[in-house]
Amino acid sequence: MADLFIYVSLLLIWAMLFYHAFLMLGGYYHSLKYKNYKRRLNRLNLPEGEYPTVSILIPAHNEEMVIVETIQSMIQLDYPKHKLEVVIINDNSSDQTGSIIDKYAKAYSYIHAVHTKPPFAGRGKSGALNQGFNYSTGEIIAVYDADNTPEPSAIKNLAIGLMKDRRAGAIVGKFRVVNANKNLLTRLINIETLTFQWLAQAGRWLWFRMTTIPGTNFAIRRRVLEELGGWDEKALSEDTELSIRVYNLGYYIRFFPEAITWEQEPENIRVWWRQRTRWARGNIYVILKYLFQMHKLKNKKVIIDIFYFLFTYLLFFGGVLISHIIFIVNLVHDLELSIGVVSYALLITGFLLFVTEICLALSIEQRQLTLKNFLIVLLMYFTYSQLWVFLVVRATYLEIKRVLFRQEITWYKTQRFKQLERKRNSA
Amino acid sequence: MKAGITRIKIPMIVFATLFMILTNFSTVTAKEEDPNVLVIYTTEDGEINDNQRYLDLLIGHFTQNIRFVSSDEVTKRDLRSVTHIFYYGQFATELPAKFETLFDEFEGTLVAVGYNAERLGDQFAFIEPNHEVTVDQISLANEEASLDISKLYVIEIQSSEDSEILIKGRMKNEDIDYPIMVKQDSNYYYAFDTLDSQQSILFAEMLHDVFQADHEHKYTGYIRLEDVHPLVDPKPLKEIASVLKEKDIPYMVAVIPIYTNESTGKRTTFADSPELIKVLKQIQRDGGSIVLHGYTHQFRSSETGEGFEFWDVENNSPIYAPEDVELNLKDEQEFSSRAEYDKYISELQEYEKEYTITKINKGIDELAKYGLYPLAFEAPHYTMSQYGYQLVSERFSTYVGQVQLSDKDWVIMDTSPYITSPSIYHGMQLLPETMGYVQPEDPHSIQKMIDSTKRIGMVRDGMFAAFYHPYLGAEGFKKLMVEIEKLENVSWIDLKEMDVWVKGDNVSIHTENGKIIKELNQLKVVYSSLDAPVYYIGQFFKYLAWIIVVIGGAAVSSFIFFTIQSNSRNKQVEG
Repeated sequence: MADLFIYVSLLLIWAMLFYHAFLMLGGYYHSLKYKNYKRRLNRLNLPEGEYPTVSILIPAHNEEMVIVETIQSMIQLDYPKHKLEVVIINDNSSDQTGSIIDKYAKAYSYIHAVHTKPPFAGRGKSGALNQGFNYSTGEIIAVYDADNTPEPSAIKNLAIGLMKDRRAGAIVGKFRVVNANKNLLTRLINIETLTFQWLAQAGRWLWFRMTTIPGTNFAIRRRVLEELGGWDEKALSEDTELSIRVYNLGYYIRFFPEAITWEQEPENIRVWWRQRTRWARGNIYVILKYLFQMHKLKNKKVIIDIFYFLFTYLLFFGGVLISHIIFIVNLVHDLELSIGVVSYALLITGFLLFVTEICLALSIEQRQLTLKNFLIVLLMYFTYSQLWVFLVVRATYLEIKRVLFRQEITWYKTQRFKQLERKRNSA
Repeated sequence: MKAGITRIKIPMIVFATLFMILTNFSTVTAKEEDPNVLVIYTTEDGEINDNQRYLDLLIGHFTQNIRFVSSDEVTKRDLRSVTHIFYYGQFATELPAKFETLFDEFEGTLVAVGYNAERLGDQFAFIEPNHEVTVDQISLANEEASLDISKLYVIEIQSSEDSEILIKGRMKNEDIDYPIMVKQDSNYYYAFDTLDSQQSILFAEMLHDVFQADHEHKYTGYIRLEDVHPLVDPKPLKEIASVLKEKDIPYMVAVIPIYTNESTGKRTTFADSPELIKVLKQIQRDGGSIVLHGYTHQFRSSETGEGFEFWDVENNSPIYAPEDVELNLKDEQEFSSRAEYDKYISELQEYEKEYTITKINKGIDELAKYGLYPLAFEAPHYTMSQYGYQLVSERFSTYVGQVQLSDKDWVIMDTSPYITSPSIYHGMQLLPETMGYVQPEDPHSIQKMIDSTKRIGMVRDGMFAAFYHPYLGAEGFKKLMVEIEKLENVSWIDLKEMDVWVKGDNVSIHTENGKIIKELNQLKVVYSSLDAPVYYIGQFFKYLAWIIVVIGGAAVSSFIFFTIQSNSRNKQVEG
């Protein structure tokens, strides 16, 4: 019987590993290809008058520590300022965020402050975004988190990309980690985000013309957003949820790594745990929301993504969990497994696949494939990746509890950290 | 033109019809030519016993038409169309008056064994029995070679001048020869009153004369690897198999499909030992043939390979009741009539039948589940009742081993010196085991095995058959093979090259031109329990897992290649 469990779990795990290898392959090809696309865009550079009006929405809840820098980067954006509108939504902050925003709003005409009021205040990112959206007027809506500092060309790239591609409902840029070298955790997160973007985002874009809106550094057409009725305020990961609805409308979401933003990542494990639990719960919410009404989806391609989530969160982690449990039980009590030597071959191959995939993703970025990072990747498999197993178990438990007891969602705002020194390496 | 065609056609049809008649005729005559044997016996209780059954084993080498009738019941009608009559007088007694004229019109061959030959009429006027003497050596009259036997009684006879002595016996220290087998015309007399493998080897040879069977002087033999059950270490078995393959010697493997642990009762199947299945399947593809050696090789709580399966040792009876039911077997004396006793036994046999058939079917199914197809049957410890043999004969064409010759005591067991189809086997063929096996505690055991071939070799077509327990290791087997290969004029039996068949309820097997042809009810065989499906999924998965490893490895190497490529491109950009 234990044999059967092992076979099932290994099959699940390997289906996932191969899918990831396949995506990474696509990601790598996209890294070679997108530069041509960029050259073509540059040739078709828009005349000054044809730039669309862009509203940047920045939800901010107690962001006094980081908001100034974010606003500064907005001011430095290379985009016609009369076509630009920066809407900062002060969502029920109890710190100085509100007054900082107000100060800048007074000084710069294209910066606008929106203060949420009860009962619409403090209801999470979706709520804030919806309020900002109602206030905004731009043809294109871009979103940045309050801890983001986009590079000056970011908005221009997003806007041109969207203008030149009628079938794209939204366009997604690339984000880099500003505090990557802070400590081991941020190094790990840096590696994770780079891999995520080249593997999952670029890979899916290349093979399926699908990308998930990452919550920051993306732009979406007002028309589309209006048609969809804004963000789903019940969703914990409003970005994933929005992505699915955009696809379902018949648009695709373009991945364009030329638009770059720098964002801050959690510097301690508690903050990381909370933030990631929210993401995981959000994705499980998406699975639950769409899994049983898949037949209603107009764009069947979305099924790939829903299955992907289903696979990742329930089956893959389930498989990993089963194989972990069997491994541990087998240490204490001989289960007489018959799988034999091939299991070691699988284990080693799986590990090598993990390492080489990540190394390939790192090699695409300048100066990321260093010896130090390579050693961290080796470590990552046994530490960071295993943490995810526990995290998903907990997130699943919380989501099931929420559904069963019809609990209200609580939004855990990600805690920010003051950055003393910034090093940027743009690709 | 029309007439011309007709003219050609007619001879064609005539020729075809003639051909058909001829071929038909030849098959019919072949059967008719088989000797038709009647054995008339005189025993104290009027029933046949192990001595008559042993005679059955010997006669079965020449014909399958063998009938037994007691001297009290025999009538002239019984002699109709009989070609050979054996009279076996096991004790000295008056015979019914009818014997004076019973054989008067009989023109076939008459063989008298033991007592009362002087009462069989004129045909045996050439001998005059006296009292008993003992002999401890026998030999063929016209040959030098002699065989030492343990001291045994024979009936001392005076034979007439015109008779021919075929076998003589002597007491070595007395230096007197006694005639043991004497012939005049087509009448034979054999002076031993007991028959078993010890002293009847020369009689077995002389039966070729009795039946005028001109068999070639060539021995057959087989090597059997014994007691292979799911917990047997596949390694030595594999080594032994490769030794035999290298020597190109076909062989048999006696397989027990279920291992039962004596103390825990835990059952282990082949699903738990994929490595062993692999080895056995390779054996089956190469020169080996699988022999079903019971289902669990145990009855009541005993360890597989140790216990009896088709004999109740505690009661020393056939298996007449489930293992947890206490059996108080009644004697015939406790019944008022023979008919009532027979009824009692046949009721008990109902259970024996159900038990035996179930075990055999399960055994066949359990092997077929994993692609192993038994071609013969061998009862654990060779123990089985006479009824058991009948039940087996309906399912197997071929039996391997020795024969239990009594339903009263399993210890009474013997083997024929050559291949035979005795009447107690109901058409099933016996490939007798004659040499024994390697006992690790006995340093002379191989020598003893080889010595036994000297005795068996006195029959022109004797069988040299030995078995070996693979768990003793390949080294011991190689030692045995060194000696076995010294045996001359032996051809080794390949069951696949023989015409054998097996008919289980769910599996039918037969051989054709050295190939195993099988038909099985997949649903009932493979899916009867979870073991086999899980095993097959496991096998499939292992196969798949290696494919995954290969593809994964390819992905790893290409990622390494891309990484190097991408890294050097980045460096160029920077440079």
